[in-house]
Amino acid sequence: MRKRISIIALICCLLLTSIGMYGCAKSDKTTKPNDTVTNTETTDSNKENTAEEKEFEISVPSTEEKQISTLEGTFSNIINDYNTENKTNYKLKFTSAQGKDITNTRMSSNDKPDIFILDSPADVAQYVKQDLLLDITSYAEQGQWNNTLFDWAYNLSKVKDKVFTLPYGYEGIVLWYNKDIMSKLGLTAEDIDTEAEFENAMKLAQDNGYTPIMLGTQDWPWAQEWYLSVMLSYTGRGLVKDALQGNNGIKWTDDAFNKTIETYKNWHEKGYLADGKSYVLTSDDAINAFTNDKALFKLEGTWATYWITPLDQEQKDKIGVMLHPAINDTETSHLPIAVGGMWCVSKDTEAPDLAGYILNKLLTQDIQSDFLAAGLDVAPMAIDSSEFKSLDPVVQNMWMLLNDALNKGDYGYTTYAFYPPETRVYIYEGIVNVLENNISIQDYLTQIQSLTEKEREAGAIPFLP
Amino acid sequence: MIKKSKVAFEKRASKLAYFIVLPIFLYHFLLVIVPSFNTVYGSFTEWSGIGKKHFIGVQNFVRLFHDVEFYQALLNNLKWMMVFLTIPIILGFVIGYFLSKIKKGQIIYRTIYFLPYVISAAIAGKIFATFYNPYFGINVIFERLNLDFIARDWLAPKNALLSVALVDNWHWWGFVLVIFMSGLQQIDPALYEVADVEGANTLEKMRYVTIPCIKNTIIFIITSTMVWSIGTFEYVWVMTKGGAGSELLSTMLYKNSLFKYQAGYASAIAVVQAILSFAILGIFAIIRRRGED
Repeated sequence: MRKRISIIALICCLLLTSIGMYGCAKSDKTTKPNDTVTNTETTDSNKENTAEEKEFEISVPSTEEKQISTLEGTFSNIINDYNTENKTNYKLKFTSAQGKDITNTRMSSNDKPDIFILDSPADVAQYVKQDLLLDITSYAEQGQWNNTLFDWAYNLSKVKDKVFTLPYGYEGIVLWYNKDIMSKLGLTAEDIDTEAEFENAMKLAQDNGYTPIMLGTQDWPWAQEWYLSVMLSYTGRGLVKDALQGNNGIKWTDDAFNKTIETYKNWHEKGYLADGKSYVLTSDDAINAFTNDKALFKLEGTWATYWITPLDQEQKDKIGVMLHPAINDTETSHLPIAVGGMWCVSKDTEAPDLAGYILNKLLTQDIQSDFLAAGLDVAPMAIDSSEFKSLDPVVQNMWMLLNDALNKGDYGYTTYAFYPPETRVYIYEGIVNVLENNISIQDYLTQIQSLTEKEREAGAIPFLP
Repeated sequence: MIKKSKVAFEKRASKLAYFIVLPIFLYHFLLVIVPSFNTVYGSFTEWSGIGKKHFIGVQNFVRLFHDVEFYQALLNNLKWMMVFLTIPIILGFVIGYFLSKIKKGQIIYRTIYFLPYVISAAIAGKIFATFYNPYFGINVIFERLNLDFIARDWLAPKNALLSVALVDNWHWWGFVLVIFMSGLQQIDPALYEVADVEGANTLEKMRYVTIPCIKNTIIFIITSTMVWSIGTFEYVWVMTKGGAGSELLSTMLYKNSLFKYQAGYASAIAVVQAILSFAILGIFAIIRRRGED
């Protein structure tokens, strides 16, 4: 009897073990929790296709339902077209909610998606260094990306003259303003262009009981980074580029950057930036204060227009958008830019031609329109203004402002897109110690300089357009 | 003869036990032991987290022990530990002691106190972030009660760590209470009766009966609190992302691994966390053994 129990127990153990081992081994076929994974069925024409069925995975960071369905539908159609044209039988495996942490982890395993998105040129530099990305120069030539994309974006797609990524989505940091408050203060956006005019506007706002600039960083510390991006870019685009690349003897410790951080600290102490409470305010607090006539300005990325949609018409009419005014005599108004994402192809993909086909299709006008309507990033290429007509007029204005600045070449560099990773993180984390008087501005800049030098030596500085 | 068959039975039972624990061991081996060794190896390498590892010896540890940020994070972990070794333990013990004397409705109190423990860190963090809001949070209540001196920017750099720790305390102390109560309920009532006969007062009963009887429970709670304080992550990440002076070893590890492409360095932080945890476990194992002797 005991023997029988032992045998049954042994069989159960082996069974459980086998299930466990199988579960561990089949990672590439497993649906992970929190992921939206869909194996999209091929069309009828492809069902007749006798070619062996193969899976092609595209992973995206999107979590919003409408965006996911647009992306999934678009990729499914593209793959079906490819199958029809090439008598192949690829099946889309679409995986959403794949943020940077998940993508990094997957790329260090054998479970790599075929196409995926990286956040910034700084990330692409790391991936290229590790030889994880497919050289897609031939597909870029085929699709004439050099003629289609903005020049800066095309340059951004390359590392050492080879194309490794399709920059997608272009964005910048703009200043939204409340027209009613402006009017009450006797100001107009057009008159706020210089440092003196901007300081005057902020002082007037504060004296009249308004918060000059709203900024919430409690739930999103990177909001602080946006403002630093603006300030550093406005110190001088050439200076930033030289400081990062180590050219012309320019260093972060130079007087110009020192003055910028001093200005930042000064504005923080005066309460111009979120009443000096940016650490304890959330993004929603910032939005509420701005839309409820309590703040003159609100700093925001062009990617985030979600807060405008629920506003009523009266509230929308009160909103205007402008470029951040100058903070010194070195730079005029411009837009620190970034890319929303960088489409990349894994070096391990078994279908490079399909990957190239998909990336080229992403640059067609039809897909641009669909993406724009779904609130998705669009390619960094000139878009006909008629495409914006379906958007809210306020959002239209923002896009026009963005396009106009980029067409004129009025762009600077955001920290999160163009600074190497360690330097970038220190810039927004270290500033807290400066604002709290734990370290001096010079010590802060010295540390930035030291990190940049280290990362430059390690080849981590991305291309700067 | 009987002895022989008893030995054979025990052998068979032992084999059966091995078979039963084997699958879980295999899971554990694959998902804990192997990654742990991988992390230890990673700590001796230069590794971005997405590519190949290059062995660099103890350089990551040398760098770590010269890193001001590491000491700041470690100090914050120790502050965190001090908060958790006091507030929830004292509260859990005292309330647990008196609650164990309540015969009617004890389960209701216990459930209410334990409830926060089942709420996820992400949700609790968001709820308390709202409470801490300077415009409509608890500050408004303090101001209305003329207790303005208590009102402050709770998540500002000077207060953030303690404010977040208080939220985690709210979540954790109910668990401590339940553990204490299970210990308290196992004390033989005859011991209290003897103490009564001897004329002991409440404090003396607590000192000579209660505490010695739940010594192992106290050691368990202190050990788990200390080990857990070394690795704590979720509340700080949800509420401040380790910013505003609330950086902990785990948030530092996370940022190095996923934001700075310094997974080798992050592994070194993980190894130091593990060593600290093992040291705590070792010390308390010795204390416990000595106590038993």
